[in-house]
Amino acid sequence: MITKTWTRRAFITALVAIPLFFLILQYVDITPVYSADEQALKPRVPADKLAEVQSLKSPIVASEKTISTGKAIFHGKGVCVNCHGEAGNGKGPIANSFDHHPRDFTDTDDIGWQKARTDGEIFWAISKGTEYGMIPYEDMLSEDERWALVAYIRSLENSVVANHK
Amino acid sequence: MAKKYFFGVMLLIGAMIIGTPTGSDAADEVAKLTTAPEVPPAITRPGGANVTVELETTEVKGQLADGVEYTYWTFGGTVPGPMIRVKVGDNITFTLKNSDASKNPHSIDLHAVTGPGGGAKATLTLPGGKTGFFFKALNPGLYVYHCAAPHIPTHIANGMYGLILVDPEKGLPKVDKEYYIVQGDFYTTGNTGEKGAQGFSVEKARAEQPTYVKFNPMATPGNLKAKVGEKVRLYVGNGGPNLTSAFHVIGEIFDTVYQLGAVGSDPAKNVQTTLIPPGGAAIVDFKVDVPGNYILVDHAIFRAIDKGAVGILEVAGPDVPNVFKPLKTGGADAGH
Repeated sequence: MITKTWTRRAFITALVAIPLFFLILQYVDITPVYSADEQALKPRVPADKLAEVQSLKSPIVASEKTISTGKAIFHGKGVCVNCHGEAGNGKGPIANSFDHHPRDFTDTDDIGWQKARTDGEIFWAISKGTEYGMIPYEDMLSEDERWALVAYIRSLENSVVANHK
Repeated sequence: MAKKYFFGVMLLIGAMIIGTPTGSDAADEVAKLTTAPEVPPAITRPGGANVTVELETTEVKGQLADGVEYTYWTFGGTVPGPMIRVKVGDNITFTLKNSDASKNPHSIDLHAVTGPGGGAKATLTLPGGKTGFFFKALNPGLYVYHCAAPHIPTHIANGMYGLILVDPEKGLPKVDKEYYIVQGDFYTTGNTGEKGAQGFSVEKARAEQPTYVKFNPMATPGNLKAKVGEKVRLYVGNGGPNLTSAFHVIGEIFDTVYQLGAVGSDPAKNVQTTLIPPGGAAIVDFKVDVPGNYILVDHAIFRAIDKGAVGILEVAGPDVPNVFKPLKTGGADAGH
């Protein structure tokens, strides 16, 4: 008798709760919402390639010369400064055009982006571009040039803006 | 000895392979490009020729209105970019150069192209660089081309668009005068009419609140011209980036309109105003019957009167009173 009552109650509850659940779903956005910091830290590399890309190692040795080469590309033929700014802080002349602002490589606001990304992931983003407006450079810069950019971007962490003007 | 001959034969075969035209890399002609409002001549030969087209992207200062300076991003140094004319079935080798002096990467998406991105990925070009691709013009019609480098709307808003006409196999009906016009909406940091150098306002562009709407803002100056009795054809494009044009010529009726640039469809007849969406085009034909100045407008009329979407077609010739004549009107003694 007790079992029968509970079964009936469970049935009625389900009858109300299930349609109510789907009704609520229509009005609630269940898309994951990232804060600005989480957005910055979210990997750009697709999940199925992430491990492989993260393990990529630069074939060139990071040195003053490599960094200098990367800096020349960043400020010269790569025109990276247009979006990422002279200081690499993401405040280039056309940065405002993008819904997602270009990356601040200086990381001076302590988001932790520089530590969250491997060299391989930065190299991948330069090569393939991203859905947020980063253009793909794999057909426009050589592999060594792209790795030199990685070295220069690494050198910008916590950099004093004036030093890079 | 046999080895010596073997290498000789191999070299000969190699040279023959390299030297053999493939149909896509041997150019028969170089496309004649024109600056608006001029139109390249009609193509009388059959389709299927190998044609080369080369455009250069530049970033140059120009006037947006009297005393208003603006840095346009351009194809070929003009806004709109040069008009390209080919024939259906042509094999086109397209080259895009980006000027050394550019500050941005540029590319091109030609709506006449059947292929990924209309050529955009294949032509993403850094300043000082050169890229290219091959395509076959499969469909006749009037098509827009535009830059598609990120941030795409900013590149378009700064003037990077133009038209490519793919003539149908039998050509379009003959007319006496052809002109090339493209409308664009512009978003300056200052208000409409504010003098001096103006920057691009992405906020106004996102809000779709242009400070200027213009036809051929950086092209050959001067009015369009025709004579009474002539048939005039306008190739009209809309670069946008945002506004749909209500294209109208004050005092004229379009005898024939290839709406949306759809050559091959039945054209519309006797049209007062034709809609042209951003990234779209139309071909309008009309005979000019009466002399005078005919004003081209976007009939969303604030854009014409207040924001600059105006052009003039001057029609010269004797009066034609059986079609139009002003009646004598008077002042105080006219009976009112």
